Amino acid sequence: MATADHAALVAPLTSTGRGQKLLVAALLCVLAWGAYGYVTQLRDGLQVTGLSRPVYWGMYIINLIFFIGVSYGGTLASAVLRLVGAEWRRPITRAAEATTVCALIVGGPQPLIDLGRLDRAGTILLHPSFSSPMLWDIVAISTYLVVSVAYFWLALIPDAAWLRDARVGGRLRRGLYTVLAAGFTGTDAQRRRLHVALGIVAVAVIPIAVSAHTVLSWVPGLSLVPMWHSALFGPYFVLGAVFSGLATIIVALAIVRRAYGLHDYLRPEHFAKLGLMLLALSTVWSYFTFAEHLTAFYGKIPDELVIAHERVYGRFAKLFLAMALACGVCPLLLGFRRIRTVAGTVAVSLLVLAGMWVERFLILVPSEVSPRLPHEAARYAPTWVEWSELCASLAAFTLLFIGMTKLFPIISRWEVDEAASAHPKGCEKR
Amino acid sequence: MKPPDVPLTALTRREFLQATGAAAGAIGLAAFPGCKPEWFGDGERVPSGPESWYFATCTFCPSLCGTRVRVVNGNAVAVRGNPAHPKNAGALCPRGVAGLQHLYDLDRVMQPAVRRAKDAPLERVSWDEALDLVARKLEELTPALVIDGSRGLDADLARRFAGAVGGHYLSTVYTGARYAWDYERTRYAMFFGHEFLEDAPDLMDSLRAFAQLRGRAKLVMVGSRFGVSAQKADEFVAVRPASEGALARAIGGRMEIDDAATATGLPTATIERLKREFTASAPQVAIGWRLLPDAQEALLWLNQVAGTFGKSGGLSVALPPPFGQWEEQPQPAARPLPAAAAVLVGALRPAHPPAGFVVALSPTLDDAASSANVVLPTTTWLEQEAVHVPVAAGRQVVAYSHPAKELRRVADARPAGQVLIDIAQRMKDARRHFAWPSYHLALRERLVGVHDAQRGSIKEELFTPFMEKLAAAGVWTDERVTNLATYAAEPAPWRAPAGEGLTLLTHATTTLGEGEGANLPWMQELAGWQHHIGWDTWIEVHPKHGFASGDIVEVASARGNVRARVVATEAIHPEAVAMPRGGGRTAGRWAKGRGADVAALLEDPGPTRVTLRRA
Amino acid sequence: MPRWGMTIDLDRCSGCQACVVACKQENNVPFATAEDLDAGRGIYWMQVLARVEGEWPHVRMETMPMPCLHCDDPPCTKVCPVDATHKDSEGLVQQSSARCIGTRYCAQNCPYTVRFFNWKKPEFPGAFANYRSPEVAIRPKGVMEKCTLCAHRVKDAQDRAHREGRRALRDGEVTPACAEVCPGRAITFGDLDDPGARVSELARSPRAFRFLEELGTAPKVFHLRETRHGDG
Repeated sequence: MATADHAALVAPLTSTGRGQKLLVAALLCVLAWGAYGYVTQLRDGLQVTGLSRPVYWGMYIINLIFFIGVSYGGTLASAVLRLVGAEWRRPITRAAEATTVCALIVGGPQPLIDLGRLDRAGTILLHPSFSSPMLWDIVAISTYLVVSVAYFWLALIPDAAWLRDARVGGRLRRGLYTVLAAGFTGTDAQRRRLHVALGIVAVAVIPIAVSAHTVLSWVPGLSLVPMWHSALFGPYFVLGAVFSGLATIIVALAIVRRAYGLHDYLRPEHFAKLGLMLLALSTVWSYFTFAEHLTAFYGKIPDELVIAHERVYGRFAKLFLAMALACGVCPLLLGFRRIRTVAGTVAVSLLVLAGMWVERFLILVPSEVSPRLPHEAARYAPTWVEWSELCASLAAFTLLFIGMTKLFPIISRWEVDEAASAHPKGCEKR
Repeated sequence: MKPPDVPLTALTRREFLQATGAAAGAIGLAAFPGCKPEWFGDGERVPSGPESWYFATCTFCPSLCGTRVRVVNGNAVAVRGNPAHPKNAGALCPRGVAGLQHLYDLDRVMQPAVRRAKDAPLERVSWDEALDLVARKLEELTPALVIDGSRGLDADLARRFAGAVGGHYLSTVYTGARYAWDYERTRYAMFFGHEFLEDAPDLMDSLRAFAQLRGRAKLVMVGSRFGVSAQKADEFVAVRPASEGALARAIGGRMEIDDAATATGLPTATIERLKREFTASAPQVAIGWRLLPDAQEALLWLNQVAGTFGKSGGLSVALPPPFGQWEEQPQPAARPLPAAAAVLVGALRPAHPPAGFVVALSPTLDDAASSANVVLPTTTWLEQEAVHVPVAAGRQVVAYSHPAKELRRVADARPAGQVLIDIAQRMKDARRHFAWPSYHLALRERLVGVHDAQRGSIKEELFTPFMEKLAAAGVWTDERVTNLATYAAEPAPWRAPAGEGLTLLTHATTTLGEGEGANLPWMQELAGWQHHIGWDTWIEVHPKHGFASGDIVEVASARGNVRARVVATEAIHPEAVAMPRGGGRTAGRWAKGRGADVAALLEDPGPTRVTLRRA
Repeated sequence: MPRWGMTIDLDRCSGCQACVVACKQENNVPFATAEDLDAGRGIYWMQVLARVEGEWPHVRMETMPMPCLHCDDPPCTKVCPVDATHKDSEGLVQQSSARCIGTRYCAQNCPYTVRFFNWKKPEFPGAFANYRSPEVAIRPKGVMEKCTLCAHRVKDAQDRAHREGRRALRDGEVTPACAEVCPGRAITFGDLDDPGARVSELARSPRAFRFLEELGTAPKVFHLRETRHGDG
């Protein structure tokens, strides 16, 4: 049971352990290594990657889809759970929303890494061509980012006010809290307005999130490339995104729980509930994957059949099997109560995340290596530069998330308190 | 808003973009201190300038196509076909176009060089010093062997040089009978083991003939490899390797059809039909290339039986043009004498590297030149005044070309013929056979004969206007043909070739040729285009032998062994393997170590049998 | 306004590669090193594709010269986020290397895989720099490039015609580099909207077909199917 003064929530904001400092230093090293890789790429061109004709997109676009997917869990889960009034959501929303913001900040710029001419990136603003789904994508993802940040901020206002009043941190930080608190003093009128605003944004964020990933799926989906050109792609991407996003939340929560000793707030029941959600999403994911391949194999359109065959039986069979096990089979284990522990859900979530990265790879690459006209045997193997960029992106995400936990209480204090005052016996329904 | 149609012409746009890019660039610079603006270079446009065109004759192969070379700012920037040339009528093969990479070869010999001691590096010397040294050495070490890879006047002078020094003369290029195929009127053409679209004594004729004959004549390809020639023929007749001679004999009536069926693996009905078709479709022609001598013999016989020699639509032999005769042609030694010195004239890669003191006349530091004692830089075909005699059916052709004066010199090089004259004039005995002060005058003496004949496409009373017109047209032609006298010898009865193992078929490619294209990167990258292989030698193997595409195998014959990359394909007879020629050179920055020298495997007369082992 | 197009007669193509090399030379496309080929990064505005099918001795081989097909409804142009590629008023699909930012989306959306990316700075080592053509700008690294159907030659001819007071070009007045050298004379270029032009005649032939026509891209480069002696 959380104590009323929430000392555990404030502690990470004011003190940093040695382990954490070391972790941050290590992550900064990874980030620097990624920067070195990127400078190499700027100097020598994209020849330092494993890309070629016809594998024009690889690691960076996979990372784009992956991180945008990861960003999904937070805002969407938080918004949906808030709207349906799920009480158990209260301690998890802040961390969830933080993952969204961090993942978007890391994922959004991935195409810039992929760009042949970074120096001309500004052209996209000066001479935009709205017939290109890529431009829709830029609009959709930036809207999503803005709304997600707004949502995160709205839900943060009472806590920011609390931190302001508690005079946490130095001058700079207090200034930040003052700004973020936006003059919130906790009057009933303010609380009512905040709830209305949160309600509106929570409703708005759902279609925006859905559109963001749908539009992202249209970048490949509206092309002529076999197995990309599919109406299934929109919902498939959205579902996959929620799936991997949820797994991200589970992992993130487990980490902050352990690192900051938040066992009182994040209890095994939370993980069990999230685990069940993951299981449910996994079955839907399996259904989509099955439908996609069944259509290809049954329809026997030669261009598509080649690719489906490559994926399931051919060169990518091992990856496909690994993906199916990680995303389709392992989450089913969460049906067992004994597996649905904190450790169990985290393990499954990590598998799901790895599996979903592979899924993005399998969506993109097999279609590229099988062009329609006769072509030399195309292949794709990412180089050290591309792997470095993936590692650096993961490091950047982690760093951002750590930064969030150092700036804001990673558990929404006011929401937990609100529940505690509404249900004096405890904030959770058992 | 639409971007400019032609890239990089709209300067304002570029500046505009640069300005906008600066924002992003600034972020990059701030983020990465090591980042330099030139990493984001814009495209580059080569400055334009006054242009001129000149004629040149491509000597990469015996076709001797007429080319036009474009010069801008002193640089040759394009090689195109000469539309008025009877050989190629404006067309070119890939090697001809890539002549630019020969002219600007990074391994051009810039000035004479001498190797003072064995294994010492080549040392640059003046022309006088090099020529004096060579003349002295050749007088000491007589007789010298002359190995010649040049064509046209250079080849004539090389032969004369061999005679003048009393040595043996050996040509490394195809100098077979100068048959001209009157393909425009042929109705039936059979190609025996002849990859006529990749490898032909006269590639340009083949490439043009096939297109012109499409639908008008029937083209039949007989062979054991299904290459592009087999595909483009109207019919492919798959025979056992090295059995073309049997089919030719059967069609020519010198072999029982049943026996030929056994030898070739063809049904008797097919042989009967081919015989019927061939006999009934006059004018017809049977052409072979890279065959065993017995098959070549049978083909000559077949053509004679069919009466294709001298007939319209058949084969004829070109009459030599009315060249002015040089005085007193000294004859080279008939038999190879033990030689202590050798003169290599543009000899890319002699089959038997000569011993002793070696002088190489070469435009580039190729296999022969890189191991020579003295290297004398010669001009490429793009920089040399030249007279050539391309073979064309029903015509006599003399091609004359002279580089434009605007063309900037690439090296301190001289025409091979000029170098030979320069050496001879420094030698006591040889001097009298090379009385011309210059190569140009030797050349002029030949053309005087053409002028004096007062016939053909250019007739002028005086020589100077004749030369002017010839230079402007690039070619002199006349309608004259001489028929081949009846070929009498009947072929001997067919005997199955001896030996066990897989039969090695070799073919030149349109890109590498016999190796002429090996130091031209464009040719290397496209050499195995049909297999997506470049810069390497491959071996086509039937899948039943258990090798997979991409495997590296060691190919061994009685003469040697090489390595090659496997192409497992159904397009080859299971008893045969096929390899391209022209790889495995030992010098040249683009050629060295690229692929394998297939010639090292070949047995004379063949067939060459090989075994494969995974390497 | 002309609508430029091309026919490629597979009956006359011998796969000799002259067109490929002439194109590389004309358009300042650098040669591909062994490493480039190995990585699948050669640039060929014109290339000859090959495919072998069947079992010995019943083998079939296809050789297909494949420039950019200059679709009338090009899938590549509409996906470019900065309009760096577009179909010009004479029907040619052009690429601006000054505008291109290198997303490679156009290349993804080209079903014919005839768009090429500059993975590195084009190299003309040593004296090879001499033979670079002044007609076509050399592209920088990081941008797309493709066959223009020798648009610079079209423009030259149009300028010449303009100086001579002619409004339209004569049929056959412009020849792309690939067509110019072709030994089999397999390639014909001209105005598809001129019913008398040789290229229109050939494009109307029963042998004419267009690759992947079912995709609705409406290429303006037609191929003419192979025939065999006695096919009628």
